[in-house]
Amino acid sequence: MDELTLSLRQKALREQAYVLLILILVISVITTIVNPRFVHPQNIINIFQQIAVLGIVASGVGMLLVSGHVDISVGTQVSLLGVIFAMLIQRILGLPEGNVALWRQTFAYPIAFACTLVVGFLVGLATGITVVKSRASSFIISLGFMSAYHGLALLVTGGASYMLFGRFETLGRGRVFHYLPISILFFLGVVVLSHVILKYFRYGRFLYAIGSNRRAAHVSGINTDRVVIQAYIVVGILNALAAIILISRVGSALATTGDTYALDALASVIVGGVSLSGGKGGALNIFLGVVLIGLIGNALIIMNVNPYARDLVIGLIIIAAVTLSQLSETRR
Amino acid sequence: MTQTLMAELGIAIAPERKVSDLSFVEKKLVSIAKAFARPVKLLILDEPTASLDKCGKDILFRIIGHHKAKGMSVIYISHNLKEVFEICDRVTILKDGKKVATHQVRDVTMDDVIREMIGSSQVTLYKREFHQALRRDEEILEILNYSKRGVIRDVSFKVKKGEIFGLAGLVGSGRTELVRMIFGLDPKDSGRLVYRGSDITPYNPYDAIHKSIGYLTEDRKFDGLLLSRPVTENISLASLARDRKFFLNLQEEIRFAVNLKQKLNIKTPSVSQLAMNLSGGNQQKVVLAKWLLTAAEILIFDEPTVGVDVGAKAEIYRMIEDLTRQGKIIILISSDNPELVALCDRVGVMRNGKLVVILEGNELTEENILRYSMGVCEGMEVQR
Repeated sequence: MDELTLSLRQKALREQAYVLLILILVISVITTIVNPRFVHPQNIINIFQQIAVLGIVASGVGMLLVSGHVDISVGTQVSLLGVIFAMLIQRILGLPEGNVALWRQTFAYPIAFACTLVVGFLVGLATGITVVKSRASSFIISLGFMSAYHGLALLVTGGASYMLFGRFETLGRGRVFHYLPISILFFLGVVVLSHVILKYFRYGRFLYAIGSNRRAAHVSGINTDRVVIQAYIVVGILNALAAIILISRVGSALATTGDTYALDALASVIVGGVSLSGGKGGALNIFLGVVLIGLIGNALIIMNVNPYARDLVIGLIIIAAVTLSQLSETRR
Repeated sequence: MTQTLMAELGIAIAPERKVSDLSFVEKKLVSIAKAFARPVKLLILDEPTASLDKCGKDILFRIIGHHKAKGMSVIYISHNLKEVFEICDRVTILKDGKKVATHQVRDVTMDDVIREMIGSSQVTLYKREFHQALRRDEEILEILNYSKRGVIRDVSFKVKKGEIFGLAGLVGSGRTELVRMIFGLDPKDSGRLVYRGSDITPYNPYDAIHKSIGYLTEDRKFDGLLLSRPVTENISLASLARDRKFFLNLQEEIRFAVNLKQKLNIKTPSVSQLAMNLSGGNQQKVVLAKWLLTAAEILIFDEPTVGVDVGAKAEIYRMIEDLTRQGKIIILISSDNPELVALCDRVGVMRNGKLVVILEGNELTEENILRYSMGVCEGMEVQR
């Protein structure tokens, strides 16, 4: 009996991965039947290019959720960081017609990169410290930050949009060997990095420990506050990277460009099987969740469903995933 | 209406004051007054004088006496035998969920009651085999002047190398609060920990582990175990927190866990089993294994055998005894008095946040522990 429950528990997470894989296959097959263009290599690459940014954001959110904490401000974080990045480039390089000094050409991107990453770090630090020190629910605190970052982005732009004038397309649209989009490589790199952190780093172990039982982790000598703040900083930095890739792909930045990533990232990690209460899930769960959410968006478009239905579908999926995992947990 | 009720009960608290603004004693009095808001035939009071001062107690007893005269019945639950003998007519003794006896209070003495509380079966399941030659008087751990306003009052004691020092007392006497302060978990007003002459007072658990202290907490599910994680991760946690290594050594981790599983006879099909799937006794052994792996010199065990089956209990006792052979220092909190008598070299008894006595040798009996825990023999306090 003990033996049996053991194997069941151990399989549970892997099983969730199987379920996701099957789900992904089923959706793919149906979509292909409705519209064969779905399996065209170009579309597959499109899907991955579309989810690259989401995947980077979701990796941070997923690692944070392993520690039992949530950040729903990631969407407006990406917007704010994107606006800062685009604005810096426009300020330094000016409009495309004008002559640009050599130093400006040389340092524009490094400066914009560095500043965006630093702001990402600070944004994560601010959210993390507030969550930890207030001892309030991370959901509510990050809800406040969501609004605050949105307001900041509006203040920075004054409602205007910043154009790149096709000057910085490589990261978001560039391809290796004319085939593989660069952004996908970043996405996969971040997923692999998350896997290594969660599985082989002492830090990853601490995230699981805190998510499983914060008090026990504290008694065992873990500085739980510091570990959680670091997790929020990782989220902020990954958001900066995601924002740069996103802006590079889109070519311009608005104060709302990244807002939708909060819901999608959270949906991805929850559907992927990272427990909302923390202490469970891994990089594979995050990856499959991201693919599923990205796939649904693409499939709906390919099948000619009203694009406005997408949010409805994703909302229902979140509700279903959370309800199912809660039910299976209470049945124990 | 409140006004008349309060006046009738003789409680002087203005009715319009908010309960949150009242003092602790006043709150207690209000909750007592609440019981009288409707006509009462039977009043059940559960430890009503715990944390009530002399004045509050007098008010309460006056109210009880007054209403008793008017025909109300009272069931008075208390650990405080003096109060029982002061106010009750009859007394019923319960032990392990069973009724032992009911007496007219005037027919019995406090000693009779205490004897019945202990029970006649003095059989101890565990017999300690090994007592270190403690007479060397090598006192290497000193707990000095631990205090926390309203919780702990100036507690000091010394523990010898290879000694099991027990802490007895009723629930709420401050034992857990004291050791949490010693481990650096909770803030304190004062207190120093001195080991072999040097100050090792920990600032936080991390610091405590570095200073070779381990603390097995009172409630393993609350702050002992990572229930949703495997046995291996539970066992390695405190050692991981101590060592500043960047990467995990997964092979070594499993080897250590398997080792401790065998040593402590942890019954689980595999060390990758989730902690939540183990029985209470085996869960406790996992927490024990965690602290053994840190190789701590000073180990604090808070109720290590609560919710543990008899077999596992004996194994835990054997493990603790084994630790004394290695010269470790052990502080053992237990509410199981026979356990303390069987296992400890000396037992400090706490009451109301104070260490009232340290019992050893022939003095160390269940009866004495109970007497001092309940404060029955105030007059004969032994100097420590």
